Amino acid sequence: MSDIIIFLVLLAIGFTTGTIIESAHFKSIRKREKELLGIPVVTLEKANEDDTRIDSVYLATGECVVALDYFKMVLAGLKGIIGGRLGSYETLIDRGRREAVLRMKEKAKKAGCDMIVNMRIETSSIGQNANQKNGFGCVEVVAYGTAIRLKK
Amino acid sequence: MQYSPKTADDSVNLPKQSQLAEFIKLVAGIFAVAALIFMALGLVVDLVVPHIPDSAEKALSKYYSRVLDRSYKGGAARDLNRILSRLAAVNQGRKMEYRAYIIPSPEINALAFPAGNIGVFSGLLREAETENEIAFVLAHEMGHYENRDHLRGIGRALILALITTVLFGADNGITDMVANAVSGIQLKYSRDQEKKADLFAVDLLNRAYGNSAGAVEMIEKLGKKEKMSAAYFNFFSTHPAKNERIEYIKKRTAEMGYVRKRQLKAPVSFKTIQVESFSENSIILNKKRR
Repeated sequence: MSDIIIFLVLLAIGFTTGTIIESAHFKSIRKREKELLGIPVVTLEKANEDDTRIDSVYLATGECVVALDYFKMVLAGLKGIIGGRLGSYETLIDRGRREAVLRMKEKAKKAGCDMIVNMRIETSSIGQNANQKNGFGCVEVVAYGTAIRLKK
Repeated sequence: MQYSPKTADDSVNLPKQSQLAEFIKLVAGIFAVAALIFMALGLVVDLVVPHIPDSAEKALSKYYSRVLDRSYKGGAARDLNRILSRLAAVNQGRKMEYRAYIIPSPEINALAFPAGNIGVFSGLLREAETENEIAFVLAHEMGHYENRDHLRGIGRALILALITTVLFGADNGITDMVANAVSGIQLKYSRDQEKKADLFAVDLLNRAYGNSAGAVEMIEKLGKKEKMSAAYFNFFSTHPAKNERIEYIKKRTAEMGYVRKRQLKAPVSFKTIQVESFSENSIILNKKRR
């Protein structure tokens, strides 16, 4: 009986905190994306600028790790039985990717750069044991690219 | 090439359905399917149970030795088995090697373990005033053996454990949870099964003692002490309502012309049983994986 109660409490805590944190995160992501709109990020290898106009280049990186909550984990476990779109993880991946790109842009902006080219996104795997007992799940995203400062 | 800044479009990557709605739908769906499978396999159990040989039942009883080995030994256990053998001697039903065990617990309850091993909680022995009352409880459990109710209960519990293991994996919190819950559920019987056992017990009681006194008295005591909070392991909470039981027992007594008088005093040894306060977990029958 106590096991069931603990499970339900964890589920409720996971859902409440998870929902609050996620909606706050999305709000912040949307706001910052708007603020950093001025810095273009492209996957092209070269900037569409004349080389003589480039002042300097930097490596700009952004990393982000977002943890699962208990509710998402249970939901994913249930979904794993019947299959289908795993929405509870999709929001997590979306948050991870956008946050990593945003941090990369923030870094570039601090260095006074004007654009980022050759941007790449990768995931690492610290939290591989997500599906094991007592394991935790998380999304880890690294975004990096070449930040370019133009001559003023 | 001109760079024109645009904000990201949320609608593509993010799920449209709320996660809570998805969760509720999933739980309801999986539960419905599992319940269907459970009921179907439950019917299979009913078909198989009458054909389970005694040797298989004996093998099954080994899994309960954890509980039975910790039973109270001493004079009271001997007295209890003396009452049991008096009943077994006149039992015209299923021949088994009946044995009674005293399980130290304040609850007023008794359980039918496989292969004729009857577990009587020490709380029941303390509460009983006469030997006939205790004989009724033992006879009631013998009635369950007669109809193989205990095997039906265990069979259904196994299916439930099987379904949860398939759904959630063996090494999972939910499976552990169900395994623990099952140990309580598996010894709960339907009202119909209880009625059959009651009527069997009244007949057996009359055959052994020459009268059917003790049955109504015991049920009165059970009703009085029935605690809803202990329902987790109290299988008497699934028994038919107290009044209903007394009614059909009295009816049976009248129909068969049984007399209800002259009760034997309960052995003194029952009153002196030391109830060490067993924690709830120690009575849990399933092996707990931790």
